[in-house]
Amino acid sequence: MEEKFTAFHPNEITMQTLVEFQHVSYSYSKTSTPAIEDVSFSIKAGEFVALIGPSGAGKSTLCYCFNGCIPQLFGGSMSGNLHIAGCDPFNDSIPILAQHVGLVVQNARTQLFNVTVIQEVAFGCENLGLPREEISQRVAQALEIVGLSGFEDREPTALSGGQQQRLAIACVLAMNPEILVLDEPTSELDPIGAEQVMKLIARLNQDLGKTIVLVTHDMDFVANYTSRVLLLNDHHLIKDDVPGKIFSDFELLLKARIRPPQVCEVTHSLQSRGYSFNSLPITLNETLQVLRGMHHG
Amino acid sequence: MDDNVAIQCEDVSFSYPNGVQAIHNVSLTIYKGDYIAFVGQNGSGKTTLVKHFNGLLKPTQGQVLVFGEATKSKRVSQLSRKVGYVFQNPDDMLFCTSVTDEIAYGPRMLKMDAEEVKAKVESIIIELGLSEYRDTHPFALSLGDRQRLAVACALSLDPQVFVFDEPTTGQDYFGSQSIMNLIDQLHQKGKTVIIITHDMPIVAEHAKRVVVMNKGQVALEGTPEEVFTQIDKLQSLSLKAPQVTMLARELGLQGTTILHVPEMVDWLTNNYLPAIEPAAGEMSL
Repeated sequence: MEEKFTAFHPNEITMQTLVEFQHVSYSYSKTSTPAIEDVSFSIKAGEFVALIGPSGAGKSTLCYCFNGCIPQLFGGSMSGNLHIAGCDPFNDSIPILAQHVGLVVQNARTQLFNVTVIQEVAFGCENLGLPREEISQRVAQALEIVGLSGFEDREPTALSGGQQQRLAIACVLAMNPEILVLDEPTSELDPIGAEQVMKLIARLNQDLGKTIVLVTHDMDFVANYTSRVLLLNDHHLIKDDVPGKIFSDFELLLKARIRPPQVCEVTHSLQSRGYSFNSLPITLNETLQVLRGMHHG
Repeated sequence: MDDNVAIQCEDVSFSYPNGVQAIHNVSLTIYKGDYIAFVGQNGSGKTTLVKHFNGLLKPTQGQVLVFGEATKSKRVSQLSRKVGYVFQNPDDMLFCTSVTDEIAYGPRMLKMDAEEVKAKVESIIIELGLSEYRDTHPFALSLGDRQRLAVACALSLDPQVFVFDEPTTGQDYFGSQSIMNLIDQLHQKGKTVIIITHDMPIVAEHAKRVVVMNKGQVALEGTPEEVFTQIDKLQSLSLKAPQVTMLARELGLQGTTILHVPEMVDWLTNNYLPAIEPAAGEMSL
């Protein structure tokens, strides 16, 4: 493995900044093209960030950089500076990182393997070597947060897709991380299940102050829940802005093959017909308000 | 039997061996050339019902007729010439070691002539844009290309009816568009197309008929306009009409149902928003 990696000195980080990527590039082993290239951004504590982009852009790769799986487990070659919640994902052990970053991988049901829900949630804490009392306390709390109290003895594989996704979230919550990274947590769910998972994630952000990084293809969720968008395309971070700015830049959206919420397509067409907007609405309710205002003059 | 009917469900009920009844007395006629979307929550019976169309499941009560013949006495291999089924996850149906072998598998199993199989596979590979992957292992393809390969396998038996279970799940916008274009083309060639999806804009922009399932029954059925007009009923079934449909309704549009962005923009400029005042330069004329 090539080592071009240097962790930040803690003094360089302000209190608020929790995540810092500086010129991070990574290539999987036996590949010549980088999966992510020269990616730089920082995230402050308490932010709710959407990570979007077409398939193959490097979103999942970026997720694995947060908890040390890249490069520690996957090998390959990495360069740049990286600082995650006071940890150095290059040198600090994955169990240490797991207490700061909870990663819920894509197809989370594939990471469920225990016989009961309670064992599944306890697994991470057991591996951290926590005392028995504390484990049961954390497990009960995590299950309550995700709305699965009472499911302790159920078999994880017998749960619905939405319940399995919330269980996977409980598993990382029990390790009490300040950052949650969720890779397409709703893509396999039906509308009810997806909405429940999104509401849970919003609650973790608002009520528990968790910093959220959400990978999704659902632009309505991005518009309704997140406050900032990182747009990856072709292994590069091509835009870092608020959702309203991303969804009004149609040239950019076309380039990154992203379809914005339908209401943004409506306002964009209206603009091309000569209507002007002070600030572009991106949700259904915002759009209703703006159009009603224009209607009444 | 009506010559225009592809699939007829007559009072179909189905219970799994564990006793759970997934389908309750469904009667439904699917016509040749239909483009139907089945929607509804997980567990509403969508997949269970469509699995009856190629005999993967047989009704425990009532009957399913495929081109006039009851599925009960037919094997899946017989029905697969008439009804092609593309699974939600392409990986559930891919198992050969090359793209060519994967597409040839069905025809070979049906003991088609070797030369005929070769010609057929070649034409499908070209049609679906898989020609650079002839010898590639299916699992080395991207999800989008594996999805295309799964469609190719269904095409290889040249069925009249195609069933797609959540064809765009997990795909980005570009991947979804590419699969939906492929499905649209099958419809345009006169094939009967059945899709299961949770994506309401896809239903509104592609399907010609919608069946809403709830608790093993057909809760609502009609054209996309007819179904998406019933916003409250949809909400009670935990489904949402497309954003533009809700927007038009909230702004007070009655009588017609808007399903597409351009229609919405036309209505807004012609009927709702004040006319744009000409720029100052033009006014002086």
